[in-house]
Amino acid sequence: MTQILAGFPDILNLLTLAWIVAGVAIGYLVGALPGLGKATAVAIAIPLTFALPALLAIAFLIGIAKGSAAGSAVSAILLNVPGEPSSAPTALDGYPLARQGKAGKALKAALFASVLGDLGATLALVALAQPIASYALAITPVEICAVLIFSLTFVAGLSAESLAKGLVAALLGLLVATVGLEIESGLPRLTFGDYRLFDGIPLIPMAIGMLAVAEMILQAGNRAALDQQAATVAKGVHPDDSRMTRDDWRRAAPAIVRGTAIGIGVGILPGLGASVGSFLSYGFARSRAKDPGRFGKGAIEGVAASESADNAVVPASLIPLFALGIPGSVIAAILIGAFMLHGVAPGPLMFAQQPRLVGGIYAAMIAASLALLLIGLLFQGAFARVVRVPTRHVVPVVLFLCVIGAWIEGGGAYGVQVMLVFSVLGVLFVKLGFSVVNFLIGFVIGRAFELSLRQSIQILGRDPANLVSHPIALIFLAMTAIAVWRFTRGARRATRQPEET
Amino acid sequence: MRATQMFVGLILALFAAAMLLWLIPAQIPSGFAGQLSPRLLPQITMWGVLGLGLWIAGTAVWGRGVPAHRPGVFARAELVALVVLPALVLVALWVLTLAGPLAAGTLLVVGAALMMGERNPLALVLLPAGALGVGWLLLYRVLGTTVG
Amino acid sequence: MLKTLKMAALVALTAASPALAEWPERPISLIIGFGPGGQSDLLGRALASVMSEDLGVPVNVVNRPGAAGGVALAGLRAMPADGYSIMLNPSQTITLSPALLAQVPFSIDDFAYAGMLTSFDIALVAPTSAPFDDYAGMVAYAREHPGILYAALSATTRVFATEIARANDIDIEILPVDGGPGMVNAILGEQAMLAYSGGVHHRYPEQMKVIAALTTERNAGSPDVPTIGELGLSIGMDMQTVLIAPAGTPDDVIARLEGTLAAAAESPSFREVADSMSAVVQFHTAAEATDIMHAQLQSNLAIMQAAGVQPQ
Repeated sequence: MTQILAGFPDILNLLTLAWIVAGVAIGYLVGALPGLGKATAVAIAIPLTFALPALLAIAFLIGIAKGSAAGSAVSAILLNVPGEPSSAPTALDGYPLARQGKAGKALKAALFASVLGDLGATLALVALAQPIASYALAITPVEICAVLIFSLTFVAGLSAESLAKGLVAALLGLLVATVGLEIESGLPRLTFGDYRLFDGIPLIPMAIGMLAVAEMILQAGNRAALDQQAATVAKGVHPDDSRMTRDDWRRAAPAIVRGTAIGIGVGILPGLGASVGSFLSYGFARSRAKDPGRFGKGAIEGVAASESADNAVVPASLIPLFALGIPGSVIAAILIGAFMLHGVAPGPLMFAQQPRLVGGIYAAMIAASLALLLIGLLFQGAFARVVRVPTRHVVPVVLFLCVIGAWIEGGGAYGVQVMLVFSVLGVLFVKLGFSVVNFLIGFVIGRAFELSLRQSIQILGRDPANLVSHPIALIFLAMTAIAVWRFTRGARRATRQPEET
Repeated sequence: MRATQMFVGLILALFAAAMLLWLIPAQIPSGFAGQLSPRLLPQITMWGVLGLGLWIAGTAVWGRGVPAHRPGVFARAELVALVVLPALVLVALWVLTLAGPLAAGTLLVVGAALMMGERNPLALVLLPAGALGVGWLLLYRVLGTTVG
Repeated sequence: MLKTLKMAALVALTAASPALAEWPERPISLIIGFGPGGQSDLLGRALASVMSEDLGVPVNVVNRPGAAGGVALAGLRAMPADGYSIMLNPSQTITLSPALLAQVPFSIDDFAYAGMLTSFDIALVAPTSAPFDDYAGMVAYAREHPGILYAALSATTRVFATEIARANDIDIEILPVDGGPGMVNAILGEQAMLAYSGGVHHRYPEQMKVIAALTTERNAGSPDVPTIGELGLSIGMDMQTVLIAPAGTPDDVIARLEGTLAAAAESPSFREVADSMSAVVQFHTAAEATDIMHAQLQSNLAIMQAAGVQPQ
């Protein structure tokens, strides 16, 4: 440990700090652009770092990932167009806040939540990576399956208007997740002979379509109302509307703490990803709230919950990477390539062979969290002014960026076509009262759930009695049962009274 | 409002039934022995949608109140936008194969601006210039890839 | 008069063979059938930078992920055979897919092969803690403990387990995992006793041991470990990265591409990238590559059919 600490001062030179700040800044700006994901940004940046020494290169790339996770909140709040799918829950409450003239407040809440989530997870990484090593391996697909089943119950917490509709949306998402080659047998499902569907429907063009383009279609169809809203927004701004008051902090703080914890948990588990983290955190915050009706209309806790989890996942997903050499997320898998290129083999050997480098990386990550705060605050003013740009200017540019994003992430025109199909579906969902977020949760969880279910069956040797050797899984299954029971009890009570409008 | 809900419920139920009876057996092979059938998860979701669709339709007809959501199902302007915007993107894609990224991008941005009611010719020039500028920077410089 | 004749001859020559000494004149697209950041992508980018130095024009990497390069290949097939659209991909997408899928939107004859660059050390691996050290030990262990798990990262990789089980009359159960990282997880977490590895096991020498090489010749990284063929089952299937162009690409273009591949194989910067991901650099000429591709296809089809795998 002392050897690791010896690496900390390594970052205290201008060049290293400059690269860290540059990485975070680039990530933040790229994340703010709708359509480009952090995975692509990091992957593209790798060749740019060929000539750099290992510490700088890795610090730069991790900085991009962190900055992007925070920056994606910006377009979610200002335009209702999430910069990445994992910021979709942020838009649910962030955009209404912006529409109420409180864009500054929402942006600050998102930034602080992001920074705190990121910092918390980074500290967890520094403190726990090694000790957690052997425990992380105890998590088998059986536990993951149980956790995912439990997570699906949060979907109920997100079903704002009607439980039935909420479940339908999630089930449809699950169905769409089965399109493609089934992993175990390699047999095509619902592909209609189209080879391009063999890997399933690509998430990012689908999310861009359902969230961003659908929103723009609705804005295009509601121009009169929007112009009116813009006028009221531009009229007057109360100073409290662009900062976090004590009251706001009181509401947001618990959400941030919980969100960070959820983000760390999701990040450590292999195969889940940032989207699952932020959706679950939002759902959890909503189901815990005393007045859940506030969510979706500008509840600052919603923004805080979503963003803290979203950002916490990034460093947390590096825990299995550093400790065991196992990439548990897309970002980690991409970073492994970068590590290898610079002669570092992530895993327990890394701690033994290059402790000083590890120390430098840790210090760089903490510095990146602080840099995130500075850069976010720096750009707040400029971003908040975007709200005043008339929608009719925003929509064409954002649409253009979305098409580019779908093209890049979906492999060409096919990605754009997927985006369009799901944009129409997204509009239908919104108009008919179905939750797009539920659909996406079903989709994202669906893939991980079915694989872990199949794996669990094999690991348990097709004998459910073997579950007793997986106590963690049993705990989560018990929690699921409790959650379902409590929910049906609450629902039965609610149907005795007329449903709220 | 109720009528719409009832229709929505019925359509969902019909969709689920169609999936269960035709599409799933047609599009998903039954897998081999000793494996969880590839059809299982899709079938479970569709049974769920079937039941819930009937529930939604049922509560619309016999229930007490119907929760309000985004009011006014499908104003005319929205329907128009629903058709025109995707069409615009598809045309831009087609123009891409004919005339290259510059023309397609300009068409996309100008078309969307017109759709949003922009009539100022200066804006109609600056918007595509700005957007294409950012796009070019992003793709050709930062990412080093090509489009089209 | 002579001058005019000379001019006419020159014009005629250049008009008749536009590819001669003119290619490349504009940027080339190197298509990668996988997402950014993965092994294929990083190798491709390293190759692209060597190529652009060698050829004097920018070589842009275009990612077109899907079906292990299948989607990109389907697109490549329809592109003009002028040498400006080429692809670097693992060979098995062309030589193994027809054995599993009834409808493959390309065939081996749709492409011209300019050479091979790296090969994959495909092996049967086990966690270091496994109570056996070699193939014979594994078979004995499996006889006493039926139902040991083998991590298969796709449908194609199952066949090794099923064939080994059949030949030795033992019971091996299959644990589906999601790609290389999933396999690593399963072995390190000791959820599976055996796994298929496409070469990534070289990164974990302390945690994994190689039981058998699943290629036709011994793995470069584990020369002491026998192949599955030497152990009695001729089901070894090779895989290399191959540089692919649409069929009909002019011969001199192919020759030029072959030349840049050879240069990359020798270039220290490329070798550095390849070493960092334990990819074995093994250059083959265009002619050799074409032969290998066809032989591989036939061999793979035969193995899969003998194992009872029907294309779906």
